[in-house]
This record gives sequence, C-alpha cells and structure tokens, in this order.
Amino acid sequence: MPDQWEFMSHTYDNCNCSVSCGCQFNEPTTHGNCQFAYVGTIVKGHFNNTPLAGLNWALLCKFPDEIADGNGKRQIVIDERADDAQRIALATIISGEACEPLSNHFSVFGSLCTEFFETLYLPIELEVNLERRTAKVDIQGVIKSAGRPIVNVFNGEPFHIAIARPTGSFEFSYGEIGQGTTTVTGDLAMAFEDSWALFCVHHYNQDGLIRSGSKHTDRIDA
Amino acid sequence: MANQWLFKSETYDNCNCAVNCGCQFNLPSTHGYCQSAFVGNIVEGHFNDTPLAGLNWAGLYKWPGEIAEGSGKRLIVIDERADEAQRVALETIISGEACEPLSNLFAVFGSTCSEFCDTLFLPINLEVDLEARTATVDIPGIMKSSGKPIINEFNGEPFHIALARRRGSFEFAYAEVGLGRTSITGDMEMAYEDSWAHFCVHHWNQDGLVRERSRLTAWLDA
Repeated sequence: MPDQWEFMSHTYDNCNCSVSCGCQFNEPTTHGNCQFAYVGTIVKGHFNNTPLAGLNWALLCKFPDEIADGNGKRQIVIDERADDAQRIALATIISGEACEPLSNHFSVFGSLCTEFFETLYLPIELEVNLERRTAKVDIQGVIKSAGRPIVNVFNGEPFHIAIARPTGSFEFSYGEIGQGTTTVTGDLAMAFEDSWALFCVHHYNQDGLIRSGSKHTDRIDA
Repeated sequence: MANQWLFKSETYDNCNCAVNCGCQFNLPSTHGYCQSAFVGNIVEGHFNDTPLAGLNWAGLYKWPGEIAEGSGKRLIVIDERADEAQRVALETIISGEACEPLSNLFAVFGSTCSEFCDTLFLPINLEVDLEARTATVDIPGIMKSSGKPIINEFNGEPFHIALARRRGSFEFAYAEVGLGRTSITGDMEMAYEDSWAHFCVHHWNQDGLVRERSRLTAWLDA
C-alpha cells in the first residue's frame, strides 16, 4: 500500500520579491530570480505510523531565474529532536516524494531543482504567529529571519492583506501577507530585507491539499 | 440630521496595473501612474428615502503619477434610468460626499483629484459575474470593457486568486482578481489590456465599510 500521511504546518516564508510577489499571480518575480526560506512547525501530522506533530522544519531554495525555469538549489533542515523514523518521514515529505506528482509546493519546487545539498539536522528555533503576521527564526549557522506586518505608508498602522485561493493552489487556501528579513549562510547563502513574507497553514496529504477550513480563514466571517 | 445612506454594488474594476497591482499592497503602481475604471450595479441601496437598487454607475479616474500624489481627473457616469432624486443621490455618493472623510474609495479617490468632468447620464450596459470573474461593459460613446479570469500559464485553466482585507480597507473585505481590457474615449481617453481587474462587493454607508459578510466569501466554508 502506498504511504499514507498528513502534514499540517504553521509556516512562515520569506522570499526576495516585493510584497506583491508575482509568482502568486502568475506573473514574473520582482527581480527576475527567486530565493526563499520556508520555516514551519507541524501542528498535526503523521507518516504512516510515525507521528510528526511538534517538529520544526525548513526548506531553503535558490533559483537563478524564474522558478519555472528550473536549475534551483535546495537545502532541507529537519528538527534535530526528530528520531530516525521521523527524520526519514520528514525528508520524504519535504523532498516532495511519496505524493501525487506536483500535488504540493514541496513537490513542485523539488521538481525544479537540480542541485540538492545535504539535509541538515539542527535545532530550529521558530516563533510564528499567523494572525499577527510575526515570525522569528534562528537555525544556528544557517538562517536568521524575522517577519512582521506590512506597515501602511499613509498612517503607520499594520496593513492587513491576505491572499485567498479558492481553487487551483498547490500550497494554501489562505495566506496572510507581511514582510520579512532573512540572512542565510552556508551552502545557500542569500539575504533579503523587507520583502514578501507569507504566513499560512500548509495542510497536505499524499493526494494534495486538504481543504478543511483552517482557523486561519475564520477571520473572513468576522 | 446627517444623510443616511447605503450603497451595495457588485462592481468590476479594471486598472492599468499588472494583476499584482501594487496599490493593493502599499507598493508603487506597475507603470508609475494609475488609470482606473469602476463600473457597478447597485443591488441594495438608498440615500435617505431615495431607493437606489437596480441602477448602474461608473467612476473613471486618471492620475499622472501615483494616486497618492494627486492631480487626478474624474468622470462620473450615472444610469440614465435614474430619476432626479436618484441622480443627485448617486452623484453625491460617488463624488465621495455625505460620508465620513476618506471612509470609502469614492471619498479617497475624490480627495486626490483636482479636475472633475461634468457628470454624464447615459445607458450603462453592464454584465458582471463576481464568482466567474467575468464582466462586459458598454457605455455608448464612452467606454467598452471586458473582464475575465487570469489564465494559468502552466495549464491553461482559469487561475483563481482573491484578496482578503480583514480590516483597514476603504474599499472591500474580499475581492476576486482577474484580467480586463478597457477602452475609453472622450474627456477621459485611455486604454489598457490584460491588466488588473477586480470583482467585488462595494458595501458602504455614510460611516464607511459595512462589514456584513458577502456571498463572495461563501466558498471559504467549503
């Protein structure tokens, strides 16, 4: 029987685009190339009989041009608290394996990478608040990042905008937008500042997105 | 007593920006200047005792630079079927008057305009389907426009993305995004194609946005 799994993560992403990141709209990137860092904490999940909740993960990628043009480089970081079975399970999911082809963003991005650095097992410090659009990441020797709301240039208040994808997304059905600043050192050295940040629930299984209403969309009803 | 009114319109807008229109994100416009045509159908509304439901309207705008830099030019078009009281009422609302200052899009945009064309009273042919993200507009002698979904360049399917503004918007709580093309003749001559379109409910009263949940967010429960 094929692998049965579920992955539900509260995720913070910071890329090098401006906060109107073209990729979200089927438009080119802001600068003609894509670099990003995803860091998440699994709030619910399993891979066959292996539980995954409570573990953190990170996915770092660099593409020389548009993502769709390929030639990306990828590095996965897995929570060092994961045991052997959990490490294999997470490396499998985040590599984009054991799922319907291209059915989630791990699989899509993986298909466009040609250089894969060694997976790292490290402490991943992550504080993320999806509703407030704040995040703080520290993986020693690899990444430091901080996310915060966009600030309204006209009144100095936090600016609240989210993207909803009723159908067709391989990543989320609802994502809050903010801005982030990231420095990555090592194999995937890169840095960007006050650029696109995304705060969303990644909720996948082996078949693709799970569209059960997440608490992250409740606000729309308010 | 101050004027009491309600304006609930199913509105189609097409501007000259790319479909990740910077204005929505507190970023600069795509081309450094803004041209925009709003056309709507009032589904519910009144101005004091004057009923407004069933009438169409258009607000056409051109700014030489960013909207916030001002010096805009505005033309209001009102459904010729409107009687005298309705014409006065609609012109008042669409001019951005009789409301809390800057509490809706009409008031904000009006405050950044310095040239105001004579309001026209014409037949406004509008077919708009917010959910399908389609629109057809014909105001004889003034404007032709059509809106359609963004097409996913990777699979040719309609691409579904919407913006959610939980708070802080002076325009909408939720808007579907698509592509439009518009051609305007006369005082407000302008034309653009395959650029930003949005499809939303404008739901305002004298105090600002009415945040009653619109049917346009119903899918989030699915």
